[in-house]
Parts: sequence; structure tokens; C-alpha cells
Amino acid sequence: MEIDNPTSDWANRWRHPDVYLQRSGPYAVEGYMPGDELTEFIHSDDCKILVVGAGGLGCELLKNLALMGFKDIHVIDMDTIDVSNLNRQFLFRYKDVGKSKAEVASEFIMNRVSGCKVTPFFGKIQDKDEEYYSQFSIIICGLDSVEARRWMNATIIGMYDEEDPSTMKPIVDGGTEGFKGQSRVIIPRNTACYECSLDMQTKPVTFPICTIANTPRLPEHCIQYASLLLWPKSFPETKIDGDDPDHISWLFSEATKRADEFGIRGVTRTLTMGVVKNIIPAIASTNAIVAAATANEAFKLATSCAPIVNNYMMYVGDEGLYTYTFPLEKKPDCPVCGTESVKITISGGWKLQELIDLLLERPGTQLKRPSLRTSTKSLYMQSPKMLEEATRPNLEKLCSELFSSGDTVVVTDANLPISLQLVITFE
Amino acid sequence: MTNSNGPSKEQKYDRQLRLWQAHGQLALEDSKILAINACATVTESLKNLILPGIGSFTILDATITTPQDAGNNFFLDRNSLGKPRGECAVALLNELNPDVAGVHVFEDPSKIIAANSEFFEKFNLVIASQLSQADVNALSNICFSKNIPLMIVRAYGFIGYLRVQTNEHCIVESHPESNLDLRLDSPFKELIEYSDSFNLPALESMDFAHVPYAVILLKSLQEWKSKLCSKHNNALPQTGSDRNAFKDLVRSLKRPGVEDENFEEALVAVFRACSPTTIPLNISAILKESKSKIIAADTPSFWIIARAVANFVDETGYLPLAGIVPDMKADTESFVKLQTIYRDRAHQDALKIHTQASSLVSAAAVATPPNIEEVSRFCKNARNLRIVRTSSIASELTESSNKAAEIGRLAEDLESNIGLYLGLRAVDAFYTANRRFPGFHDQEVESDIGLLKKTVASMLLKMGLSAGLLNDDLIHEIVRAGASELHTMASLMGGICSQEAIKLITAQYVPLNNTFVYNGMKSVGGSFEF
Repeated sequence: MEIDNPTSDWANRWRHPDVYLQRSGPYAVEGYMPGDELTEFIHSDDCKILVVGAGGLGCELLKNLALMGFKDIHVIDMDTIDVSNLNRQFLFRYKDVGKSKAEVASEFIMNRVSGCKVTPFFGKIQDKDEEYYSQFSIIICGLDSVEARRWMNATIIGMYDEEDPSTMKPIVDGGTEGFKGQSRVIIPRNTACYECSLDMQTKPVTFPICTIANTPRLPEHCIQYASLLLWPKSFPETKIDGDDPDHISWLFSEATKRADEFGIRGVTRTLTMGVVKNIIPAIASTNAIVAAATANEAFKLATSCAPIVNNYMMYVGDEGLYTYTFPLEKKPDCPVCGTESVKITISGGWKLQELIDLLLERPGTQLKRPSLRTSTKSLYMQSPKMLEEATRPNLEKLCSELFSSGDTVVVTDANLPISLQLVITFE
Repeated sequence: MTNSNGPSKEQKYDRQLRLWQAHGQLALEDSKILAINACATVTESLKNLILPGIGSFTILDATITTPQDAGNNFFLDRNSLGKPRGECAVALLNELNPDVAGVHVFEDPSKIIAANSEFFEKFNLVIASQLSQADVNALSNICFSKNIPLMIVRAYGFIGYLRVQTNEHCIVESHPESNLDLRLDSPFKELIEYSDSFNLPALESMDFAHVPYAVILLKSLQEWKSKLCSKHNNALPQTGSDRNAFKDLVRSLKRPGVEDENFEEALVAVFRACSPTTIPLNISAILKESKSKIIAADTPSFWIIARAVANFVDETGYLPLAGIVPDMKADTESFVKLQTIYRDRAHQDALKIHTQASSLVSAAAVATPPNIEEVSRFCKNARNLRIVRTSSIASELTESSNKAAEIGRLAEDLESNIGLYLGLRAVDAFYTANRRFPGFHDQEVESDIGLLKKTVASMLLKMGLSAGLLNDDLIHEIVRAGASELHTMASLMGGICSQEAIKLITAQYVPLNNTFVYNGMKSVGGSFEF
């Protein structure tokens, strides 16, 4: 045993994964080549893994990958550590509050798992370009927002050039909420992608503004009255910071006043924070389950020692223990990985603004800031400013004035690297 | 709860308190957990229990850290090599949460199981891995007789296994998706008065659009019952055609030109409103059982309150009211008033039951009688109580037991994970016979495939099952696994084990009954009740 050099492996250190990497079996992927070469590949910088997110899933993923023998791991996260992370993000301690998640997590893993190199990036996924993402063999996402997942998915799939197999980067994606979660593998243009399943996302509950303003019934209505109506009036210059206890205190006190006035019970500080920050409950155990399933797929993808999931596994743990694994179908008209255009029928009497509102709402598209053009002209462009101003009058025009039934409208989104071909027919 | 050297528990535990609230957290903080063998699967389980703040844990382990132990376990490292595994794991696990204290006991689990069953009485949950079949069997008997929940967890190659054993686990807060108890079919006095206070034809359009759907349905049902009483025998519209007629009646109350969101809500709720308020069968069974129990000083609150509820049901014909009103389109005043009516009525029911419970315990000298908070929580969830009683592992392992036929039936489904379950049992039988796991040494893989096939065949025969039940490919893969404990599988099963442990400790949500097997190659899980 060479235990003098802190970066070298000790004999039998990797016995557990090596059993699979040194032996073939009837369930291994066809053409599987076990042996030292494979073991060395996993340990080498030829097998570079990117972990997107260093939160609840990210901490688990880094640990799992490091202990499966991956030695060149990169991690991106723009967040800093908050006290409420400590119940599950086990690489962080109270003394780390306020520091970069990616940096603290990387350091912890390198200290604990000798010989593993973790490279942090404290910043946004959008700060990095295709050249950066193309250095990795596998991209693993442990994210908590739909937007970030869509961006990552569209970027990685957009990089794939079918002529050049080296541009094909599998994505393994995990997500959790309370006692539930899911793990899936996305093989660009081969399996369903994140965008294909966008309509599976449950939309967050929103309350009509007139209820909030006039006929509140629930404590949530009172809290939103404070955050959506009172706050902008009282502090027009300041955005609400859900992590600032003074902001929460002010909202809580105003919401309480509102609730007392109407005889509504149930406004608490906890609920105020939950509504303002849209908090999703999160626990160590669910994160562990989902991250482990996700890292397990990454290990199988990298080695071919066993087949990968086909292609989506969900876990439900609140009543008994239920998992369901199924192949999610690719959508031929997916704006990211599909080849067909999306067909919709609207009334020619619709204003362009109404068409845009539909694209914002439609479960399969859910765009944020769409720009629309036909093959010949711009209908509405979000940017640059001059073009926005020039096309803004079109919003009030009828669709039938702007293009003909059966025309293709190309939709792009300032926040997402996607382009949607929309064939619009008038009723 | 702020203290000088750390954050408050409300802040630190915010994301989990939203799932099990302060009383669930207190139960967690009161728990004392025993973990047997500090392998990766067990330390991962512990990690997920220490982070949310269990009371304390003890690791029972008498091994010295081997090179492979330190390779797949995050709570061991190169410095642990050659030192006691339990001691090293406890030191690193203790860093996770300053509120949780762990200790280790350097004793051979087999010896403790064989000779010192009192040892286990200090704990309210036992988690174990890497025990021989004989030890599992003996431990199962100890825990079953002492009423301590036991979890056997395992990661064997790409196979994951968890078995939960609990004599009786009573759940008040099962957290169902919905807990609707509006009693529209059998309204109580205050509810009728409330409904009568709405004179629909006289309302302004704005007010009409804000009549709560509960009122719309109450009025419709009233009309249905009175006008059509002879034809419908005063019954609720329960057949398909009756329900359609009833929906037409609801629609007939609409006012043209007035926004009708409240009527839409009413129509959606028709099905439920037309189902008579009854006592679910599983709840009747619980109440019946409560009557057969003799209340003594150590009777759990659950059974005392259940008995009080049973008496309440005998008296009134109904379970106590849940007292919750789902959100519905309404103006503030009508909604708040409706909420108050339900809440007050639920409170009255709870008070009656609390009085009942108090008189039941006074006769039995129960040390801590159920308080009103506990009773109210019980009443609120009275329609969703759950009891989980698992079989004992020892009974499952008896090869001649009647479980075998059931296993054989399940094994006919080749896609099910039952083959993996049988494979693991065969692996243990192999170990018992050969003192090593199949395929542990590279040079024995080939010969062990043949040996394991024989073990499988004789095991299946003893169970009265067909010897060819397990296919050769699966047996080959099991030998290939060579008792390796892949970290991903250890972490997955540790996650699953801790999740079920949390449910057992907090007595909230519904735990697994009783076996979960995960196929990490296909990424497919399956639950079985043995």
C-alpha cells in the first residue's frame, strides 16, 4: 500500500466499482469491454463530468461521482450558502453561510476523497459557452428551476452535430419536491428531451389579482396583497429580497394587518416566507435517492457496464414507496429536438398580442419573452430597443393583417436558446 | 430557539418543517437510533437522519476499516485504514449536525444479538446491513418481541433491498392528497342556517357570483330532497342518471349573464357532494379494534383517542368533523363565516372526544393523557388514519412458510424484481454454506456460477417452487456482482431507508409495507408485501 502519497490510490480502494469494470456479464451493453483500460478511463481527465448545481442534489452528486471513481469533476452554481440549506446540503457547515456553494463543495470533496479534482465555477450557466460545455463527457443536472433546465437542455442539444459523434453529450437530470422526485437520461435527438416533457410540469398556483385586491379568502391572498400591491407602492425603488429578514418582517406584518381586517386566519412568518420565495419543501433523504439514481445512470453511461434507464424514473415516497420507470416519448414538434413544426389554429380576428399571450400560457411552449417573425418580416421583436419600438404597434394589429393562414411564424425567446417553427392556420 | 453558536432550528430546518411540522420534528429529536455495521449503505442512511436532526445514534460494529471499506464510504477515508470502522464513521458523521450526538460500540453484532437482547431496548429504531441470514433471523425475533421497528437494508452490486418490520405502526397524519369532509349530504344545524341565510334570487349580481359552491350544493340538495322526495325516496342522487338530473338542477339556479365560476366549482364537486358521508371500512375496523383493548397505563394515545372516537360514533353516527373548508370562489365574509362554522363544529366535536378520552384514562391511571391538541389532530384526520403491521422477517425466512407460494406466484412475472429478491436469498444461503459470497474472487467467478445455480435450485425446491424460476443470466449477474457495494447503490438504498425511517419516527406519512427491491441495471423498483 502506498499510503505516503496523498493523491495516489491505495490497493483495493476501487474494488467495488472495479468488480463491474473488470468483469462482463449478460446484462452489460453489447460490445462492453471490461478491463484496466476502462478503469483508467474513468479515473482520467478523458472522462470529465459536469455537475450543474451544487445544492441539495449537487452535493450528493459530487460525493457519488467521486466515490465511483470519477476524478475530474466540474461544478457550476451561482448561489451562496444559506442557513436553510444545512438540513440537506451536507458539504456545508454553519461557518460557510454566505460563501459560494460551488467553491465550498469542491473543496470539501477534494479534502475527503483524495485524488479527486473538482473544479468549481461560481456563476451562471449562461456565462459559459459551447466551447466550455463541449469538454465534458456527461452533463448532470441537479437544478431547481424550470428555466435553468430548459436553457441547459436546449444548449446541449443545440451543440449536437449528427456528423460529429463527439458533440453528443448525454444529460442526466434529477429533480425533487418534498417526498417526490425523478431522474432521467436525455440522449440528444434520440430520447425525449426536457422541452418535450415541459407540459408535465405542474404550474405554480397563481391567484387572480382582483381576489387579492378585493375579496381575499386565504392567508396567501393577504401575503400577496402585501408583496404584490403594497410593497411596490411603499418601496418603488427596491425589489423584495426573500432572504432579507427585514423584508420578510415587513411583509409579514402588513399581511397580518390585512388578515386581521378581514378576519382571515393562518398568516405566519413561515407561510409568508414560503409564498414570497415560492419555497418547495426539501429533505436530505429524497435528495439522496434521486441523486444516487442519477449518478448511477452517469456511471453506466460512462462505462456501458450495464444498460441505462429507459428513460425516466419517478419516485413517490409519501404513501408507501412507489417508483415508476417508463420511456417518455419524443415530441416530433419539440422546439428543441423535434424536426416538425408546431401547428396551431387561431382566429384570424386575434390581435398579435393575443397570439403572444397564448404562447406564454400554452403548457407545451411556456415562453417568457417571445419574438416573432415570418420568413419576410419581423412581427414583434423583444430586442434591440429600436426594433422593439418599431414592431410594438403590430401587437394591436390583427394576425390576419400581418400574415396569411398557413404561414410559418418563427418564434425565438430572449431567455432560451430555442427557435420554434409555428404553422398558424386561421379558423 | 436561537443559540449563540448556531442558527435557530426554525431557520435550519425550515424546508423540512413544512413537511412534518414542529411536532414531527420533536419526535425526530426524541429518537435514538441503532445502526448495525458501518458500511456505506448504513452511513448513508445515518447521514440523511442526522441532517434533519434525530436525537442520537449508536453504531454497533467490530470491524477494522479495510481498503475497500474506505473506498466506497464518504464517512471513512484513508486515515481510517486499520482503525475501528465504527469509531471512524461516528467521528465524521458527528460533523454533520452539532445537534446530534453519535457514539460507537466496538462489539460483534452477532454476539450481542445472540447473548444480550436487552442491549436493543435503549433504541426506538434499528437499522442493519451486512448481517448473516441467521443474525437477521434472530434480530428480527428480538425486535418483534420488544416492539422496536427494524429495517434491513442492503446494496449488493446493482441490487438494492430494504425490508421494514414493525409490529404495529399507527398513523394519525397520513397526509392524503385531499381531506374533504363537508357533510353537504347531511348538514348540521349551523350549516343549514348558514345556507338559508342566502336568498339567491334577491342577491345583486356581484354577490350572486360570490355565493360559495357549498351553498349552491346545499340548496340544490335541499330542493332535490324536498321536491323529488317521493320519486327519489329522499335519497342522494347517486346513479348516473340521477346525477345528471341533479346537475341540471344545479345549472337551473344559475343567473344568465352573471359570472358562473362558483357554479362551475359546484358542478365539479357534485360527485363528492352526492356521496353519502360514511365511515370508511378501514376506519370502522380501527374503531372496532379500539373497543377490544383494555386501557392501561401504557396504552398509546392513539388507541385511547380511537376508543373515545368510537364512543362518539356510537352516539352520533358520524366521525368527528375535520373542520377544513377547501378554497372556493366566495367573497371574504361568506368564506370566513363558512370556515368559522366548520371550525367551531370541529372544535366542539374534539372537545367532546377529549372529555371522553379523559374519563377513559382517569380510570386507568395513564401517566400522560392525550391533550386537546393531540385529540384535535386525531379528529381532523379521523377519516385518514392508517395502521401498518408487517409480518416478521423471521416468518418470511422460514422456507416452508406460506409466503413461498405467494413468492412463486410473483416470480412468474419475469419483469418483476422478485427474481432479484430470490437471488439475494440464494446469495445468503451460499455464504452460509461456503463462508464467502459468490464471485468474491475473480478467479472463482466461473465456478461460482455453477455453484450458485445449485444453491438456487435447492433453495427453490425447499420453498416448494420450480427450480428453474431464476434465469441463468440473472444468476450470472449476481455472481458478477461479487458482493460489491457500489456507492451509488449504497446511497440510493441509504436514501430510501432513511426516508422510511423518518416516516416511522414521526408517525407521519405512510411507510413501506414491507419490502422494496431495486434493479439498478434497469433502474426499476418494486414493492412487495411478504
